[in-house]
Amino acid sequence: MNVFQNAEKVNFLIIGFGNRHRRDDGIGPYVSDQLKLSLGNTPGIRIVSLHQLGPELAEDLWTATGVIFIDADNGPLPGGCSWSDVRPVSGMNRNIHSLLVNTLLGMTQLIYNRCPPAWMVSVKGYDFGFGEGLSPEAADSANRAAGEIINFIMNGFVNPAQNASAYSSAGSCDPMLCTARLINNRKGLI
Amino acid sequence: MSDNRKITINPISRIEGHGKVVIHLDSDGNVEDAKFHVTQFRGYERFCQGRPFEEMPIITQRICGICPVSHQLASAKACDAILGVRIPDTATALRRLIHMGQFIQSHALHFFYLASPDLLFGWDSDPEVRNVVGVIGAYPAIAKKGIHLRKFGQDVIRALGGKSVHPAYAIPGGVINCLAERERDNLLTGFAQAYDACYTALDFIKEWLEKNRFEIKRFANYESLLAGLVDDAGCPDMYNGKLRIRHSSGTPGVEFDPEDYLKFIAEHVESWSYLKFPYFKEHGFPQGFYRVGPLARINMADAVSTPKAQAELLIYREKTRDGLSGSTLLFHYARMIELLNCLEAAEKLLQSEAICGTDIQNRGHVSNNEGVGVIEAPRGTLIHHYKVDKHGVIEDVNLIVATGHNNYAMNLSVGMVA
Repeated sequence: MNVFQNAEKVNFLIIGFGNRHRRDDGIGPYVSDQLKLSLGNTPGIRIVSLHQLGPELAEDLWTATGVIFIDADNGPLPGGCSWSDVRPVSGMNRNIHSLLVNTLLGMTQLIYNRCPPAWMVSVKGYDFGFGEGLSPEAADSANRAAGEIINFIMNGFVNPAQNASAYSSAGSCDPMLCTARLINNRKGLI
Repeated sequence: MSDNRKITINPISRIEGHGKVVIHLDSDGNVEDAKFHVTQFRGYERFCQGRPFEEMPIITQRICGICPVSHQLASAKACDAILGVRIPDTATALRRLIHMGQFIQSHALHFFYLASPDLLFGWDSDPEVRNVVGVIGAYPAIAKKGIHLRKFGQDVIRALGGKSVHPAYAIPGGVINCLAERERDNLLTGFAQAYDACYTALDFIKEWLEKNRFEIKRFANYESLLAGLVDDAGCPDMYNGKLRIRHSSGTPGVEFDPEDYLKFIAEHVESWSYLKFPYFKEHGFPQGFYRVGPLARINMADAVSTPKAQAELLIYREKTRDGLSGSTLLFHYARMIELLNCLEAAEKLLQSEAICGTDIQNRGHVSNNEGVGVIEAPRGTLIHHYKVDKHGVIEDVNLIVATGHNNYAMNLSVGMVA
């Protein structure tokens, strides 16, 4: 698979994060694992699994052309997963062991004066107790999320950094809308 | 009846784990007593009983989220002793390398993320700003270097263990992965920037020392016993060596094989803390309390093992000879000298031929019914001591961790500052 004909210009990050030892909190790393099977050798795409987000990620983020975060969510999510765009925020965060996505992006912006366009894929979790492995319902949603991310990439998104409108116009980030917008902008990259 | 009051700081931030400080006041509002409490019961010494000893490196690394590699290595060394094997030279080099990665990331974290807000903004500044986000906002260039340095340490760990926190790497008898030449070459490209960040920190802390001599001199500054591993030349050795206990005044102390630790160290228990109070037997409790970690290692060292760090040690000795060297605030300075030492040691390891060797494990069977593994973690000495039955099932565990060794000293420091 080579969705990027000009892959050296693309540095897209996919970050699944969560605690694999708290059942469905491990959705993020699980989705990353699934994506590695399908996209692991795709030029220009880096997929990582993390326990939690730390400030060191800023060094990877500022050079990224785009980033997708994947995390478990215990709120109501129709269909089991949802996409949203994430904007950097600056401000207080006493807990440096684990950062919120928007705080991490804010740090990146502050330090490097640049922040990539970012999306959060939230996946519904049901069981956050001690133990390994996802609940069947969460596994279904996680697999669906992995499929959506693969489609998002296979449909050929563009380097968002080269076209600010891909980010600045992002409202609610429906994957189909994102894909359409990025396909429209693809010529700018290739 | 006195009108006792107390000030409770709970939880303590910027530590790994759970603790609180309680300051007891008398009826006039003066400090009567102060205690540092560890409020978290861990239970490792009990729930590991019954487990196969081979699991211990994986289980016990979970003791800490900052220095899991150190716990894993101490545990693996104890397990090597149970197997009765000497691990291959490449395995030793790789264990040392991942440990240097651990020190680099942990020391960078401590200095840039935990300590720098206090050092840069001052203790009396607004807590809403006195944090790592505040540092990033006000001093982005320093923050950038700190982040890079910590990431570099994490990259070393990840190159060997697959992930930066809780890697599965050291096993009884060796390690599980070789280091690919491509990974080695990639890591070697990162040293110039890492040294630059380290020297930035060293320059900063030396300047800070000159500006804050008065504060440093009166901030939990005291003579004590010091403990840590040293090599044959008397240099701190983070992975191996003799365990030295020496007084900060420089009077000769003792050096012994770490597996004999029970002849020299005993543990005291207080009802108000889950953390034990180790002490030097010869002096009894509490007179035999000692400090471990960067300040102890630097202050008791005859020298350090690498040239750049040795040069900085001499500067440190010159700057602190007028009664400063016992100050708790100088942990930060000592930590940066160690960081430089670890960068040099890691670079040397990566340049060695053995580092990409493929002989990384020696297999064996349960040959001894107990094993002791001792190592220096970023915050001080770790002792892992296991007893097993003939099948290798854990029967008894004794763990003395860095915070435990420092427990009495931390309480003393908290009391002095209060």
